[in-house]
Amino acid sequence: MSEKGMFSEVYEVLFGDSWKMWIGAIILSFFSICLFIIISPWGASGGVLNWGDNVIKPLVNETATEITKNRYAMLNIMIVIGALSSALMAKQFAVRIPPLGELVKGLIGGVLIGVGAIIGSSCTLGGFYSGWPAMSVGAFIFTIGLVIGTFVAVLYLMWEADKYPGISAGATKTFLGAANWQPIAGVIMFIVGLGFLFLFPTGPADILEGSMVMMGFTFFGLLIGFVLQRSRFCIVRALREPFMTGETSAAKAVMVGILFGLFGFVTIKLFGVFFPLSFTGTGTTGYAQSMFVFGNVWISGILGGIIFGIGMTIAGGCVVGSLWRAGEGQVKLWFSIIGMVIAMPLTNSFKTQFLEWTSGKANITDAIFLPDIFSDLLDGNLLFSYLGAVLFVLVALAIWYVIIKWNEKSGKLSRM
Amino acid sequence: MVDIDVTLDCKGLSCPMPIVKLNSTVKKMEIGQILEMFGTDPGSKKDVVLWCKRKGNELLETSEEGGIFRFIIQRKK
Repeated sequence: MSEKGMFSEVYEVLFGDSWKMWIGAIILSFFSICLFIIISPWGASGGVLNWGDNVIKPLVNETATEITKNRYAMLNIMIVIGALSSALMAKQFAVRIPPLGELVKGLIGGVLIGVGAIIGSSCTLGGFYSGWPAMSVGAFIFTIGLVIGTFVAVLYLMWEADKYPGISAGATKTFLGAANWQPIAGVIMFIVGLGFLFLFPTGPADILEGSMVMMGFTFFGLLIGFVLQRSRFCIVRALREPFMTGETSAAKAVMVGILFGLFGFVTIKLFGVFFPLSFTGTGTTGYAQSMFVFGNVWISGILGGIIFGIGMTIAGGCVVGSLWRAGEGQVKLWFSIIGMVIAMPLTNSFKTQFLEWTSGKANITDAIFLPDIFSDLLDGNLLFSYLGAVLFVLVALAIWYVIIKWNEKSGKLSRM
Repeated sequence: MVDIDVTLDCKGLSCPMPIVKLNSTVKKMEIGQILEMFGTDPGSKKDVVLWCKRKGNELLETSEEGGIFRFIIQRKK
C-alpha cells in the first residue's frame, strides 16, 4: 500500500464517519479512570462554576480562584479546544447561527442547567455518568430528577414545534463550513492545545503544589474533547430518545460507559492508588471513597435534577454536551454556556445563604456513600459492602435497560 | 427529479430541533407527499435515517454540499 493510501485509510477510519457512541463511552470512561488515578474523576459543572466566579466575582470586588489553578476549569477549556480541533480535522466545523428564538432557548436552557447543577451539586457526570460508578446515593436521586425534567422538556419542545414553529424558524447563517483548510487548521489547533501543558511547571516543588495534577487534567481534557466530538457522545440524547423516537443506542452507550467506569472506580475506592497526597483514609471514610459522593440526598438532588433536566433538553446539551458542541461551532450552545456562567455563581451565593438558614434540618444535602448503607446492614464487612453497592448499580442499569427495550418495541413512552 | 410538496429549512439548528420539526411537519402532511429538508447539524444525518425507519417513512435521497445536508422524505404512514 502506498503511503498516501495508508494515510487516507487512517483518516477515513478516524474522521470519515462518526464513531459509534459506545466506543466513545468506553474511551471516555477509561480517561475518567485515569483522571481518578491522578486525583478525581471526570466532572464538568465545578469547572464552569469557576469560569462564572471569574466573571462575576471581580464585579463585586471579590477574588476568584484562577482558572489555571482549578483543574476542572482547565479541563473544560481543553474539551472545547479538543472538540474544535476534531471538528476541523473532520471538516465538520462551521459557525452555525440559528434563529433568534433558538439562541434565547440556548440561554434559558443554560441558566436552568446552571441553577440545577448548583442546587443538586451535580451535572450529568457527577450526578450520573461518574456518580453511579462512584456509588453515590445522591447520583441516583439526581438521575431520577434528570429523567423527569427531560420528559417535561420533550413534551414542551414537541408542543412548541406544533403550535409555535416560528420560534425555531427565521434567518440563519452558517459560515466557514466544510472548507479544505480545515484539517490543517485542526492539526494546528491540537498542537496549540498541547502547548497549554507548558503553562504548568513540573519541578519537584511544583509537583507538591498540584501543578502535575493541572497538567494531567489539561492533557486528558484535550483528548476527551476530541473523543466527545468524534463519537457525538450525548447524555441528553440517552435520556431523551426513549421519550421521542424510542431509539436506544445512546442509552446503551451510556450504560456501557457506566459499567466500564464501575470497574475502575470500585477498584480505586476499594484498594486505593499509591498517590500519597490524595489518599489519606481507609475503608469507606477516606478521600478516594468520598470522591464524587456529593451532598444531594435527597431534596437538593431531585429538585436540582429536574431543573437541570429541563434545561439540558431545551439547550440541546448538558454541561459537557454544550462544551463540545460549542467547539464544533454551534452558536446555540455558546449561549447555553453563557447562561451557565451567569447562573452558577449567582445560584451558588444564594445556596450558601439558604443552607445557613436551614442548617440542622436533615435530608436536604446529605452525602451518602452506597457501601456505607450496606456496611450498616452487613456488620461492617468491607468487601461485602462494596459488593452490595456494585450489585445495586448493576440492578439499576438492568432496570433501565429493560424499560428502554420494552419501550423500543411498544413505544409506550415515546411521544413521537 | 421528484416533485417537492413541502420544504423544511433546519439550517443552523442544533439537535434535537431538526427531528422535532421534521416530526411535526410530516405529521401535518398527507400520506404520499414529499418533503425536502435542509440541515447543518452533523448529527442530523443519522437521526433522519433512524427517524424514517422508526416512523415507517421513506428516505428517498440524502446529499451533502458545502456542509449543508439535504434529505428527501416521503410520508408513507
